[in-house]
Amino acid sequence: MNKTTRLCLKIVEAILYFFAGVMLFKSFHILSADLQDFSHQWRVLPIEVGYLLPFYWLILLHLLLYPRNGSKFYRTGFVNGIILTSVGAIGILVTSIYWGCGVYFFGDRSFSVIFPLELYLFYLSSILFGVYLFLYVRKNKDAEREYFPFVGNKVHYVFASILRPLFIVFSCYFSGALLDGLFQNYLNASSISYWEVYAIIIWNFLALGYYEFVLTNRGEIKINLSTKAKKIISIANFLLVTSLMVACFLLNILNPYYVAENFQMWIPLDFMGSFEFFLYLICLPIFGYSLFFLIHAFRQKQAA
Amino acid sequence: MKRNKSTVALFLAMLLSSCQGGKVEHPLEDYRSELSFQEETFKIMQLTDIHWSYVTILEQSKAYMDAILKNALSEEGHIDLVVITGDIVLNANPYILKSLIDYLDGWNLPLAFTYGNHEKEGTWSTAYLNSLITSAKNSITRIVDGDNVYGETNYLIDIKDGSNLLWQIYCLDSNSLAHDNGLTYQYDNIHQDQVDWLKRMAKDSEVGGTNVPSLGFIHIPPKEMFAAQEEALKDPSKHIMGESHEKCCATKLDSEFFDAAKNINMQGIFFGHDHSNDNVVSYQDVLLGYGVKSTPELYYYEDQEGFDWIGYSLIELKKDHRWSLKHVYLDYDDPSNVKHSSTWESSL
Repeated sequence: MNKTTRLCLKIVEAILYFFAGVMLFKSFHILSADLQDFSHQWRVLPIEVGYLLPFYWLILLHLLLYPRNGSKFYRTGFVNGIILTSVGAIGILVTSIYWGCGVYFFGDRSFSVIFPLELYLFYLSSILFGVYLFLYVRKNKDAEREYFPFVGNKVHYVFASILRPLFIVFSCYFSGALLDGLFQNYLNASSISYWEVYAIIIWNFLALGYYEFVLTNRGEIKINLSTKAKKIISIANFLLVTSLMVACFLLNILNPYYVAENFQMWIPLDFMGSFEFFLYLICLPIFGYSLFFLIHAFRQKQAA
Repeated sequence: MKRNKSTVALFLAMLLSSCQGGKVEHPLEDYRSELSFQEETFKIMQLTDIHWSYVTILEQSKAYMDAILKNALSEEGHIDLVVITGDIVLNANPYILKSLIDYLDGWNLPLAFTYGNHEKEGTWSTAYLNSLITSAKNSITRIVDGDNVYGETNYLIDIKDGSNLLWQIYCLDSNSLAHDNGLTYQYDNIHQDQVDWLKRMAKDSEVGGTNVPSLGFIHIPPKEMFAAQEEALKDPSKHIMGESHEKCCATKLDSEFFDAAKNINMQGIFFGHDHSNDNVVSYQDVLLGYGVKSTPELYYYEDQEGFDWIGYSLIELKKDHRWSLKHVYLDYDDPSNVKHSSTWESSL
């Protein structure tokens, strides 16, 4: 893959990250309206799955951009090509049946202004992506490409394979929630006391970029920074994230209704057993990530 | 350094002020609506916990509520006020919210809304919700923006016969969630500034040094409901009507609301929140009662015969300050299958 192609795909990945976030947020919102007994799932599952597809594409695109080895690349493309095509075909079939039976109807704006056309768009795209992927990996099975084998110890492996995907889910969800709030103008965007939450959400995206381009420093796009620069950045990042986190919790102490009044739409608190998790979900992943950057920068120096 | 300190101080001040908001006291008249006796009695229909959400089939829900209205009008002849005690929505978008408000507005009956604990879970701002609720052409809901009274739907409806004030309806926002132990929330209550507002409104409404009888409508049951239910278990004469099929989820937080309500001649406090409970009990000469959940959304009580115990409450106010209460249930699958509670009537 040449640098321009990779750059284009990374831009697509970034755009997809935000779009997938919005759809992930919407999908979770629909699911959470049915958490009581899941009795409406027969009707809304095709919508939830359809809205989740961009997130699936995002993960898949990333895996294909950074294959660990040839067989993994082939397996990823082959298996997911089949899954994407099957999900797309089933989705279109179910949506058409529901539309035909009047379960779905055009003009029902409960989900979107073009409902159910967007489901066709998602499922059809899924089929196209799946078929292309399937054919591409079969045709280019033995083609020359760069691989990205995992480098690091077991702790790093756990971080990379469990915590990082979790971080991506949370950051993508909250990015989508933030974008949805800004587009639909329901956030308290003018109030300075909510900025630190918005800043943390944006910071999640930047942290992912830092990990991608600076920390792992792989692929055709590399940003080479000296160990000293990495140390300075990671310290500054850690201090900033900690300050934002402290500000969030401080505001929650100053105004005990800080979260309940303003962020209920982001987390259906009530149905999660009235858990007061919002600030932890917002703050702890990025705090953990920043801590990791810090440790990584200092360990790198030691190794040097 | 000095300049840095003042910058930090200014930032903190801005942060705190934006956190607290610029709250000011508004004239009491801003919180007042007015309705009149059109006939010999004034009839209030209480709906509660409608809970429209992404998974609601709107047309089916509308058809059921049409049946509710049709039944109420055919049984009562007239309805003078529809009070909706909160949780009108769950996770929903502005389209679903607006569809519900437009639908209820289409009834062409005065609408009074109180907010529940779920109104802020949708993808809209509180300002949007408030403007939708108050701008509906039949809404008599008052929401005073930027006031020093906590919550949104705190207002009073004067019910007059000509120029004579005969009854008052207090609607209060029982808010949503409050801190508990740092890991979980608990249901909120009526805050002290709301209680102070209630007292001010009552003082301002005195006729000849006393208050006319009033009723209160909120969403989350007050803490006193726990004691009231226990008392009713020991003394069945305190049990007025209805049944309890789930644990009471009243607020566990202390509030002076009940005592203040009692002192201003509030004779009944009605709420929603617990979908499978519709029991009404008498406690310290005040009726504390659940309304009847008005749609099957989320969950509700269905008996072994398959009858759905959902519908509405009907309160009838009389000019001589007597009043009565009954619950009406319409089966969801067959709304022509209607059941009634016994009718409770106050004494003079």
